[in-house]
Amino acid sequence: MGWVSYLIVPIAYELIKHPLQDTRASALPSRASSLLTHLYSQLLAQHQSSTTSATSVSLAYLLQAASRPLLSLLHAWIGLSDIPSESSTAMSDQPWADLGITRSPRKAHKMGIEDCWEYDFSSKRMPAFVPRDMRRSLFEAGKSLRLLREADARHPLSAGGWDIEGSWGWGQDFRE
Amino acid sequence: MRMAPQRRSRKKIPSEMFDLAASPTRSILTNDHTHGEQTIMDDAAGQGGISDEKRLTDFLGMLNLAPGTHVAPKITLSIWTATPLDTLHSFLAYHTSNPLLPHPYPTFPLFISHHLLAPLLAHADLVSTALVQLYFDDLNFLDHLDILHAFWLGGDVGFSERVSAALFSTNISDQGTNMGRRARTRARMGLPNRSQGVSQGDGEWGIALGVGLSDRQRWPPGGAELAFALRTTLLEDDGVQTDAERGGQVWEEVQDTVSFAIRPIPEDEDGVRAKWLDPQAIE
Repeated sequence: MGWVSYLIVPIAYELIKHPLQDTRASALPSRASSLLTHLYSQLLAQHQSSTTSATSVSLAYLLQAASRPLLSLLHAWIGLSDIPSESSTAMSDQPWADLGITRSPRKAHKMGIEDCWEYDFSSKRMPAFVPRDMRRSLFEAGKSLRLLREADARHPLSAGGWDIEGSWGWGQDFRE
Repeated sequence: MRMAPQRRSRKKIPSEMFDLAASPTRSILTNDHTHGEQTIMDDAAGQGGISDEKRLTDFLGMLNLAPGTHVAPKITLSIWTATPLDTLHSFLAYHTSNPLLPHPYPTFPLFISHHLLAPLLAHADLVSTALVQLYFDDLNFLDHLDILHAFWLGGDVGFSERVSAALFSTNISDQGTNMGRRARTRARMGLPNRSQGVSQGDGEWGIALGVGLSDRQRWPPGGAELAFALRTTLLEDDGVQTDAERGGQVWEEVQDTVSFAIRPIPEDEDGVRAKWLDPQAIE
């Protein structure tokens, strides 16, 4: 499959932001969502020209593999799965930063609840493949979930772990 | 649970060894859990010609096996796992025949919103709806809004009439302790009470909050009388509930939740507020 790698080489250069004509490379974006945005835009560009070429399929493979952590984070925010670090009460801990969601501790009332957070959202920090009109509704759903958990811990939606997963679903046959 | 029967079978061995000739081998099989052992014993029983000694040695040999080996392993462990390059190659091979974007979703935005994010969006809708339901059904949000409207925004006509009568009526209560300066002068001079011209319905509620009826220099007059009178305006005297929707837990607790609060403003002789407190002044 050597010829495959030959075809991919220019795209690979584009991918790491070192265009073949230039002598210098620019830095890859460091934030996770920007990196995914970069991958996604490359895939879109390649896919426009040819849908079944090896380059676009390889880019799809990269995107699928790279977006897995962010997607699981999103699942945990919505309440479809659980991540244990959410309940950490460290002040400066931002487990949702990759989604563009920051939290700050709300002043606990006299009842002494320590786990009160105020969530703030920046829509442009989400990766580009999430459509814009859905970003805020996803954020609001996570906020509602946390309020629901606080209000009624016995509500069936309060528990996580529903074993439902949204994924790209590419290459399904070869994956068990 | 698995350990105990084996221990029992081990203890039973001596007696069962002697009973092997008499009893069928099935009695030993009842202590076993796995099919592997049963097939061994079935074969032994089926042939019939095998000596009891062989059956015994088979059985004892089975007991000598390492723990867990009698269970057929479901997962075949292999030394070789797929390298990332292999998965990439299989991925590429798969997608030369199958398109990346399946037929129902020919563009990426469609594919993402309908395939990738579909469970997430459905769950998000569910969660938001559940929260709204919590407010409306469990917490009776609409009842709270009704109470706000009734008491704070003048929605309850009877209540607002009572309060305005209490605050602004020119009548004087029957007890006579709150008679203002002018009323007392009138009484001393024997003039008829001024209230007779006004409709009788207000008679019970006037507590001399009105300007000019009180001999105090500051308005509003303080004291427990005021608090009591205001509190009574909250109650419905005749006890007839005209509105049908005044049921439910929130309305029953309204006496606890809604109340007047009289807050003393700090004495401030030169400030803006001091001017309110002088009933005779016009600003």
